[in-house]
Amino acid sequence: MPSAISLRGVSKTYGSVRALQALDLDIPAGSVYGLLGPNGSGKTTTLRMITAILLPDSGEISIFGHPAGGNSRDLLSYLPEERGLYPKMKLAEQLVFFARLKSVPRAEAERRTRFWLERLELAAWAARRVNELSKGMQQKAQFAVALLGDPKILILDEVTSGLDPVNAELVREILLEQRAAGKTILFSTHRMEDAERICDAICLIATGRKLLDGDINQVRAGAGRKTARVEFRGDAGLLSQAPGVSQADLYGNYAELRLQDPGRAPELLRWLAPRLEITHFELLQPTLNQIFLDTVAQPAPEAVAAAGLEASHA
Amino acid sequence: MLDRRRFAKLGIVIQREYLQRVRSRGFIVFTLLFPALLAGYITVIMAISHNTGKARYRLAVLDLSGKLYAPLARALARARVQGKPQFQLTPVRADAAYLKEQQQALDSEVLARKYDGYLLIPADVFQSGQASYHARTVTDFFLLQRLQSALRTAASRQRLAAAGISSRVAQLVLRPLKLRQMEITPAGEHADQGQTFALAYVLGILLYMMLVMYGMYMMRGVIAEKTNRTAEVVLSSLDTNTLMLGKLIGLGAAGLTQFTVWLFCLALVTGYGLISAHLAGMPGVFGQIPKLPPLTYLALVIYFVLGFLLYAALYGAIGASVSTTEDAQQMQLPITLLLVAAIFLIPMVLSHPSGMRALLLSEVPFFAPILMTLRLTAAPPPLWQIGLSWALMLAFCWLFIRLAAKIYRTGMLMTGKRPNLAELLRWLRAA
Repeated sequence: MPSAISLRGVSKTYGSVRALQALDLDIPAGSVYGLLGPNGSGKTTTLRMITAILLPDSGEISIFGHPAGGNSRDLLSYLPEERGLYPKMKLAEQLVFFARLKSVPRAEAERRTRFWLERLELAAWAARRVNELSKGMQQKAQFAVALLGDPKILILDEVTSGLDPVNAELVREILLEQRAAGKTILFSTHRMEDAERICDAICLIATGRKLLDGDINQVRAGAGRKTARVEFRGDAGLLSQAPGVSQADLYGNYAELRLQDPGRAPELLRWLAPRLEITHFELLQPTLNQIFLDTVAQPAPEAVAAAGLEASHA
Repeated sequence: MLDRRRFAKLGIVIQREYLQRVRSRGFIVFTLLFPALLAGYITVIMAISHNTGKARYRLAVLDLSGKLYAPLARALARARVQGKPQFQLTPVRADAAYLKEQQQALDSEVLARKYDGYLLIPADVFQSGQASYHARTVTDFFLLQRLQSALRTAASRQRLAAAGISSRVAQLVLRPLKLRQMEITPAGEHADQGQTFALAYVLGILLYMMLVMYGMYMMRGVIAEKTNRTAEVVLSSLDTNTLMLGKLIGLGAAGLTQFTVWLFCLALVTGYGLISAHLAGMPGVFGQIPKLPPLTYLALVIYFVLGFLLYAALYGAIGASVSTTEDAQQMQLPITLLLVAAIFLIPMVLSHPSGMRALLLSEVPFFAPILMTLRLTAAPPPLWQIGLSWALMLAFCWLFIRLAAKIYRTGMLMTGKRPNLAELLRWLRAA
């Protein structure tokens, strides 16, 4: 698949704080790509450079082969984490303005504005000023701004944060439609469940460095099956003493055991069998959340020190 | 650089900025109200500068010389307000032996408001050349000037008479002489009684006001875009230079709209005045409005536009570097000082509009909008000087727009602490 967005050795420094260090990324066209990482890891900085709001200190960014910035801005639209609309401008007028800034002709911009206001259940508010809208409605309006340009790439920073479950579902539904229509969707989040549900591929970054990236199934397979789910009858206290088990989480009638080495799972089963009545033994695929915790927990010591500083900038 | 799509986006930003400004209630109210306010202001200024004193002065005269009362009364009798004499003089029979008591009596009569004041003319007035005026208010310059000149004329008449000069010769000697100001222009001469000065001043002040006002709009607009985070959404669609330029032009167009409405009001009032004065059969003040060649008006508009762009770009740069209006108040002080300096330089330029100092000062881009406007109305400078100042202003405009855009790009995402100068310079290099 050709790359919709590619980053080569992109670095960014704020004053003395390194927000991003030599980041390489390839985001395949037509994919839903999750940029994951803890707070202050450099997610927003990355998105701002792809949208040409910020310039990288070094490295190259290209959008469908064109350098970022200039008219390649029309190829993408951006929903920033901190929402921004002109508070005193009327909603419909504002949506038409932002659509036209993406080089959409006026008549078409007006048509699309009507469509999306209808779809996002905002039509009744079209003639109201934005500061008269509730926060959730403003969020949906911001989402509409991102969709109006109908660009090939949607870049969304924490898109569902602050939406009630009904509206969050509406947004997810629209995102799936957009993917079906061949759009590339890049979004950042620190909520792994979201990423797990809709991403084709992910990149995990922390303290400005890429920790791992790739197709979500490969990532999960590559992480290895380090968790064993055991259903049993007998003394649960024995589980934590089993050889090769670093941690045992007990959930009533089953337990999850964290293994130091997946290769030694048969050995564990042989040790458990005479001591407990085992009814079920399974090696689980790790959740993104576990991969995230496992990977982020062991970065280089200097990177950890920088993370605190960075949080105030990114 | 300016491809078609970017140019179209510039137009869209200009359109938004212009419509949002022009449609706001504040703009409409101020545009319509300001001519009324200005008219009131000018009336007050005129009333103060064309001081013709009170309608009536009641003055007592204590003439110990016994020779000045009659000529003084004659000299003051000519002044009339609405057909009635302005000065009502009461001679007090003077007695040198009881001078102190007489003065005390007059003092209390002045305090009781029977008189506005009294004149004390000593017996040796012709030798000492001194007389005195006693009153509750001694700062009425109109009255003091009148009394002084009347006394001087009366004393001269007496001195001449005492020297044996016939009253006919004295009359000739004392005939007053008036100095009229005539301005020479390529179109010929015409009388000028300060209207050119007034026009230049009004234009200068008006320009100053517009620069500060629209500079503030620009600054607040930029700060608002930063604080409500709209900047991020806008900048994912266009570059900072285009955004800044678009905001400037949009606001400038709104300013010109306002200015045009005001000029139209002025023309309406002037036209009405001219017609009614003509019907009444007298030229009146409206006949005296200085006639400027149409090209001068065009030049004035160009100075207005360039000055606006220059200062608004500066204010924009300040807005971009701070995140609250309070911080901006402090940062904008240097700009205000520049403008105030230009206003303070007005009298100097007006006294020698073609001098070297006027030339140098009016070529400084920050002063040019106000000082060149003055020179254009007072004594048109040669074309090369006008051209040079336009070129300099354009260069500075371009520079400041780039500067504001750079600061904007870096400053936009920073909120909180106001940057110091070192940080600002680093932003400029980094952007």
